[in-house]
Amino acid sequence: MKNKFDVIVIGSGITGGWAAKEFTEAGKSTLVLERGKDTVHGQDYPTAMMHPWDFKNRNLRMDRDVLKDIPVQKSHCDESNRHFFVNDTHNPYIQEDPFKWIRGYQVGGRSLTWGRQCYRMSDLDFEANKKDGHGIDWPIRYKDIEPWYEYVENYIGIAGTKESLSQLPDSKYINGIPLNSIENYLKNKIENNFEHRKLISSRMANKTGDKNGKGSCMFRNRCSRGCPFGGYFSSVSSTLIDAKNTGNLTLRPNSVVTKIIYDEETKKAIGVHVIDRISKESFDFYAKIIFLNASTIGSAAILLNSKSKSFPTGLGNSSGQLGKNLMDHAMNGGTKGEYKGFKDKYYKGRTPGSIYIPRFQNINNETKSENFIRGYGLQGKGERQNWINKDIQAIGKELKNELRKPGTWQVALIGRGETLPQEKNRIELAEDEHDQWGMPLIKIHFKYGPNELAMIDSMKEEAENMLLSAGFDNVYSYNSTPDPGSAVHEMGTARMGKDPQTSVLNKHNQLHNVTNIYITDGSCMTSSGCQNPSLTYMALTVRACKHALKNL
Amino acid sequence: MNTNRRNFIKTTLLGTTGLFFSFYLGKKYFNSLAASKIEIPDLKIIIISIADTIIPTDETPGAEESNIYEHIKYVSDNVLSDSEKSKLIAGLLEIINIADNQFGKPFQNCSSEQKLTILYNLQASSIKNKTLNKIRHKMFGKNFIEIMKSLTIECYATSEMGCKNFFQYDFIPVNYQPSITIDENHHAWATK
Repeated sequence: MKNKFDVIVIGSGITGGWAAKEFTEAGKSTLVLERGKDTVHGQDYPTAMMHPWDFKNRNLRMDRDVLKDIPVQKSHCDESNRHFFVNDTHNPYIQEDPFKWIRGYQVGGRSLTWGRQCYRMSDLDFEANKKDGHGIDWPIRYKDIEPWYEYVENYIGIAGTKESLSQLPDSKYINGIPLNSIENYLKNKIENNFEHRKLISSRMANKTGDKNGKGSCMFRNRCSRGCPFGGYFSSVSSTLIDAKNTGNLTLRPNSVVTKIIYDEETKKAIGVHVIDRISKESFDFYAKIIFLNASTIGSAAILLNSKSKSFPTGLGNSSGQLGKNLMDHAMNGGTKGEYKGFKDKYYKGRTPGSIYIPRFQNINNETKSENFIRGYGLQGKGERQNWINKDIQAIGKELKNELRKPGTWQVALIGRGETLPQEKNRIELAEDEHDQWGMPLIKIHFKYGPNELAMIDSMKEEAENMLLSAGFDNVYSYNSTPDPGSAVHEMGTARMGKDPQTSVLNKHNQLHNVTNIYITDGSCMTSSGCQNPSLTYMALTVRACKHALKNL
Repeated sequence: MNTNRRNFIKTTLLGTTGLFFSFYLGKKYFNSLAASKIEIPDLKIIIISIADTIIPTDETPGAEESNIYEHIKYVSDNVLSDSEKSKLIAGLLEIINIADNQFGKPFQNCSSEQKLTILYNLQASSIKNKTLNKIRHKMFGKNFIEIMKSLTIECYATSEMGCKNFFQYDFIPVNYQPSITIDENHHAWATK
């Protein structure tokens, strides 16, 4: 295998796939390094076509022996997609505070199991830090990223509907996923009962129509197993296939990048140091440009471990901000309510979509909250209960009769709120504990601040208000708050900024001090917004690729 | 099952200690002792009989045809904690005792009405208040009848027979129709 390339991309997930596509299609020889196993579209989805009865535990739970190795991942996976989540025992990290680091080490990364919700950020988000003084100002505004949102959306296909909301700019859509009876009912009630609130169909990277000849959604709602129909966007099903088709892609799975090699004379990165995951052999690969797309925590760890004379605390860490300002969307436990009507209404097919109540506070003076700054959105789903959540006291024939009927309509809502950037929320490397590849273990420090906690209270209160005012019964909220990390939206450890003294990356996602390294995964985020962030990562990746290509 | 174990069950369950079982605490004590020696395969007949009472055969098959014993065996061996497994076994033994005490015969030989009476009485003895139930679940987990009911229902609902013949099953829907009108005889979807 050759060891010199035009570009090295570290990570093959949602942004690494895009970098691979852009560079290979521009004729550049590109090496993609993935620390996990190989995954081939269609071929490596072992459970995709399995029925409930094919699973040992009927896909309802997992064996004790499996659970003991996934104490972190278990809340986010099940029997059908377990193979796309890491083994925590083999891949340890240190939780200085409770923080769920949900990971998928395989080609495609977490793009195989992501929630697929895609929302643009707006200038409400890009200007927030500057306006209220938390964190630092973004070096870009909406106009800088807008064309790249469109570029990405035109390729992946976003199911959605035009809503003309200033806080949630419209994307370029393919057919939206329609709301069912209870969702439409709740939409009308919320929009009539509350000013400034809307309920919309979630914007999903599910192909509600053939997109670029790469398949369409079959409404099975089995996305996280990998879709043999190509019904949703993942790097495995889309960008990496395009990259491979150019003939310019070299994909190397099982490649744990431990360091980026820095040249003191040229002040550039010249390559990467890799340990083979299985054989533990070492390799060096060289390139003119390096794209770091190993995930927010993974990318920062690689840089922190890349120490040199010029960068004794980690590559590109002149500001001291590397690894700091870790964010994840704050979540509450969720609220549920039941509705007794619409007994003659049902649905056919299993929607992969959901409902979304976009941020409705602190949008303008009229919507100002007295309790917190920034805002949150509520996501959820309306459906009829089935056997799994019916509480039937009867036994015998009466039980059978009840089981067989479609149950009461139910809506669940759960919030995802903006987390403020704080230096104390950070990752660092352990000094004396290493993983099996010799990488220092990652320590995570993270605590919600008073703003996030106030927002979490509001999520519960407002979700209950909306359901009660719509005539729902048995409205109740879970009081427990999921551990940070549960949104799987970690970001911010190598933030973009204008000033090299306070930020790690410039406005083109280059390291201020080492401009041939670009970071375009969640690390680069200067603030978190409250929207699902992957669409923004993808748009920033394409934008950075185009910038890098000018210099190649 | 070895002969000694079979003899132990027979002797213990149907033998001389009958009066002792009428005392609640004594019965619990017995069950915990017995449960420590008895395994799920020893209780196959009673498992199937209870499950088939929970979901009986009528115009559609009952729980027995969903391979309920194999399911409970698998869950017991690979999923349940030791205390949950003990609770399950103790509950099964308790039903054997109740059937013997109340009707003078093994549970599986009781009439459908007698079987239902036993299970309903057992269910009624647990707390009915929803809030108190939640607290109980949090502190002690599900009780025996709740474990047995949920395992029976999930096995039935996720079996090929249950999905295809009892509920509606649509493996590859292709399209999504968000609102269809149904009548009162419409069957629920097997899966979400």
